Amino acid sequence: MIRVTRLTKDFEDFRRGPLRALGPLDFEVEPGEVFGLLGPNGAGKTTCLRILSTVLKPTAGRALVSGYDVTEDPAEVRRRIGFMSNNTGLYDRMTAREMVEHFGRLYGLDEDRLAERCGIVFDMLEMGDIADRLCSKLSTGQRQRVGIARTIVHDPPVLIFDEPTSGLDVLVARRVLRTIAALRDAGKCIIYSTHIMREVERLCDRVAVIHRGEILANGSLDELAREHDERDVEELFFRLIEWHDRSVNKQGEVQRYADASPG
Amino acid sequence: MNWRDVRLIFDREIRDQLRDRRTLFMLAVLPLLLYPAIGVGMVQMLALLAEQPKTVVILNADDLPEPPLLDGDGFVADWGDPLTRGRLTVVTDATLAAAEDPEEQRRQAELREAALAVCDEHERVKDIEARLETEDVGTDSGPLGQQLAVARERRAAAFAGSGVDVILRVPPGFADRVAAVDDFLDPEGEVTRSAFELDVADKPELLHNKTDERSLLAFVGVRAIVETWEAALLSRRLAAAGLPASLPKPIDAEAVDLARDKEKSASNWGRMLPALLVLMVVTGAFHPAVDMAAGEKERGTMETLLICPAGRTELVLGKFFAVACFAVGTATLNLLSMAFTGSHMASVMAGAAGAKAAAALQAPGPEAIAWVAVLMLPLAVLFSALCLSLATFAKSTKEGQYYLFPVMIGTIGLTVYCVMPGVEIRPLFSILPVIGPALLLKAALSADAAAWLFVVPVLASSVGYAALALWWCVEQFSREDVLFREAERFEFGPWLRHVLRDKQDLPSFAQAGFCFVLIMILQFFMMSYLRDGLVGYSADELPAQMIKLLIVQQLTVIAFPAVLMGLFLSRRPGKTFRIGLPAPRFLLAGVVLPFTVMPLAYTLVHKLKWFLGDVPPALAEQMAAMTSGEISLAWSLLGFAVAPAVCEEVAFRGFVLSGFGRGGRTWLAIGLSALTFGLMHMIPQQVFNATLLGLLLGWLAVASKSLWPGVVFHLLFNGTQVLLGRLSEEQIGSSVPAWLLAVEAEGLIFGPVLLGVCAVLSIIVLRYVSAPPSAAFAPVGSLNPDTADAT
Repeated sequence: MIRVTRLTKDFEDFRRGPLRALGPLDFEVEPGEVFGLLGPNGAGKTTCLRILSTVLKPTAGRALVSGYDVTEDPAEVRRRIGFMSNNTGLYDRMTAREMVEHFGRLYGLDEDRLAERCGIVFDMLEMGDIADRLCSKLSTGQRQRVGIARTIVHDPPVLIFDEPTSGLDVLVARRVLRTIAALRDAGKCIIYSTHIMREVERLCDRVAVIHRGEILANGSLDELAREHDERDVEELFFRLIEWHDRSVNKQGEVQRYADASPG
Repeated sequence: MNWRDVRLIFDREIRDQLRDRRTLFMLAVLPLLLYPAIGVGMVQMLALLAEQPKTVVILNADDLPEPPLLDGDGFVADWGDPLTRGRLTVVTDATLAAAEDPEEQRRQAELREAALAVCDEHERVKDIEARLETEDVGTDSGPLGQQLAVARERRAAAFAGSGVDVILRVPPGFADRVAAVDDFLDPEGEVTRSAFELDVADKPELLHNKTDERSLLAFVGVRAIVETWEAALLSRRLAAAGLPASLPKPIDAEAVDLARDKEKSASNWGRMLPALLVLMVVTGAFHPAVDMAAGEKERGTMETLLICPAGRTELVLGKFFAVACFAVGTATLNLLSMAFTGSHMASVMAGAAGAKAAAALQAPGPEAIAWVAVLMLPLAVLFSALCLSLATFAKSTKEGQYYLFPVMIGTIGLTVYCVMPGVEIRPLFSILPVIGPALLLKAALSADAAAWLFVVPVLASSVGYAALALWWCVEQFSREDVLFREAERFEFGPWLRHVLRDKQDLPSFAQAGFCFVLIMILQFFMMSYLRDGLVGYSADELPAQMIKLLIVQQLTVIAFPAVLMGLFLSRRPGKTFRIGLPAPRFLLAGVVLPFTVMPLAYTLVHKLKWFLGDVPPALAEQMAAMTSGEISLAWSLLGFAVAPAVCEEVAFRGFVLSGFGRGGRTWLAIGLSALTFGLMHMIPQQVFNATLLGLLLGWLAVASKSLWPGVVFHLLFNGTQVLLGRLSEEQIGSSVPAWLLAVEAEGLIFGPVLLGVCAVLSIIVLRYVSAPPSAAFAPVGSLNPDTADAT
């Protein structure tokens, strides 16, 4: 469903010059599974997801979504994904229903199908009471629900969630996780980015630990635990990052030494 | 193009804006309230102004001649309309004596004293002026001049502090002198003095200050009254002398205005409406555009929108149509409200002041309204696209608002130019942005029958400009650095380091644009220096000096910035300036093409004279002087052929073309480099010519990957023109048959046969050059400098 090979993204940085933000990255996600991207803030998770959703173009490498290349067929890719960013991206001056319907139409649903899908989605997310209220009047949790409704209204096979629980209280976050699990059970192919270990443990079938744009480890939690001999996810995460930072620093030192020594 | 998506976006944006209270208030409620409020305010201000009486002090009023000018503390009813007289209160010795209230007495006495003091100062000024004249000092700068300045200063200060608005100073014995003239005229009267003696006399004076609004109003009123009074005095004299009343005005041609009221108002609106319309449309387009583009980024909804399947073009078009709707809506509401207020005020004023002002403010007729409606569209389309592009570039609504000011200043500048009297629509203007629609509207409203001719070019060119702006906007929507611009702290040092350190092989698009702007600015500032450089040369030396300055200008203003930027901003200046040698066939093309293209280009500009207009005479004279035989051929060639061939090619086919072409869009780069090259020539005729040649030169440079064919072309092209310009009519006439080449008053006329041969030859050469001589030569047909260079 999603196949990422040698995916790389460089940015021009005003202060530091060209900067590698991501990659090279390799991973695959199959239908009916939740693939977690676990990493601290600034690890490159959002950049990666933005490339998958065709908003950014990769510097090198390929990414296939449902068989379509994100650089060659961005329109086809966009048709097949639902993307929810960490800010819900709602129009304040639209009601929840208008918002969901507007995007449903943009995704090409005809009016009958739209009505049917809206019914399903609103039921699933228990949005009956907020459907006709302006988005600006909704609470954070309610906004999150509208955001998810907007993401899944066109019933895409691939779903991308970029830190969907950030800023939510425990109750709402729990509800979001339950919804995503239900979507997985319905056979969706889901990428879920987060920096919260507990969510990975509860939700993800497989996980990639990403740090400074690189994948440090990739596999199911059991596999990772076996490989690194550490059952505690949090410990595992810290160790991977610490180990990586240390090796990068060592490389830097080696490099500095090489630069300094003549010949 | 998916019109359903465009429609969806459009509907959403319209609904969204209509739900925003602030936008609604700005766009709809404000105009409906603003103009009536201004109207009411104006009426009240007028009333306030009218109610405040102005004080006129008449000194030595006893010496005023018959018939009586004054009636108590006002003027006699015969000499002015009640409105004017009602605004003026007169203070004289008689009113002072008659005043019973001690407070009033004191006030009048003070006014009189102050007026006397002003007159004293005035006497002093007159005295010094007389001395200056008799002593014939010449300038005002001597000690006497300084005295005069001081005296004038004191006079002005005395008047400002006097509280008097106008002083009428009657010289002593004035009534007697007038009476003496009357006696002189009266056949039965007693003649005491000679006719000439009567004229040499001190005249009454109206002292006022034109820069003081009150004083000016009072002066205008008093002068009108005095003139009527004077006319009465004159006709009495004429009657006394038994002379006809038409004596002082033997011709007295009567001015008859044939304009109908409708036309008067149309001409007034014609001056006002274009400017108003442009401003309204800009305002109407700007705020929604900022909200729809920059606002969307700021609120974080842009990303959501970008990941929906609708293409960027659909998104931009949907938003664009919504902005255009608001631009048209706002402009319509504003104009309607303004017209309603205007006609209402006209009817109010018609009751008070007279029909004249009312006619000027009468609402424009249906035809004028139709014109406004039609021309609102191209303006709305243009500004909507432009505002949307700027707003897309902006990171936040705040940044978006910053762009309003430059847009406003630019458009106000253009519309002020259009409003200027004497500026009328002509072919060239009709295809310029903003100027075209504004001038067409002006022409249409002043009932110019020629207006119809320009409708198609104005509409077509406006749509073209809007399409360009929209294309730019779609570009913006596809650029990551624009869509996801982060808030960066700007520091000059790191930025400069970034520019110098992270430079690429070729300069960037922005740097190429900056280079052009820099050249234009330098040219602008050099103009005055160049003019100074010509001072002090005799007419014989002038042309040679002009040529030298031309060379200096080419080197410093055009070549120097480009070379400097190329050296510092690109990693491979050699590639930027294309200094490598081309394949020989390109050099051959550079040698042959100038001779085949020159007659074609010359004839084209000649044939398009009706469109491009005439070269300004002063400039034509200068050009003629510089190309005349008085200058040695070597200097002429150096100034007009060698210097431009090297300097302009280095700048425009070197730095500018390379920069514009870095992204791989070769034809865009060629087009832009040609356009900038053309614009640099300033004069319309040359801009047109140079842009066309720029296309050819740009193509040559890209296809050959070398600057040299262009340099050779430019050198020979300009050189041939210099040589042709120096040949006299006889020289050409004796050596070339007239059907090939003739010299006429308006310039060279190339025969059709010659032109045909030139066209065929040009095409052959171009085809030969663009098609590789053998398949062994790889991608010459590919115009992309980057891919071509990679081999």
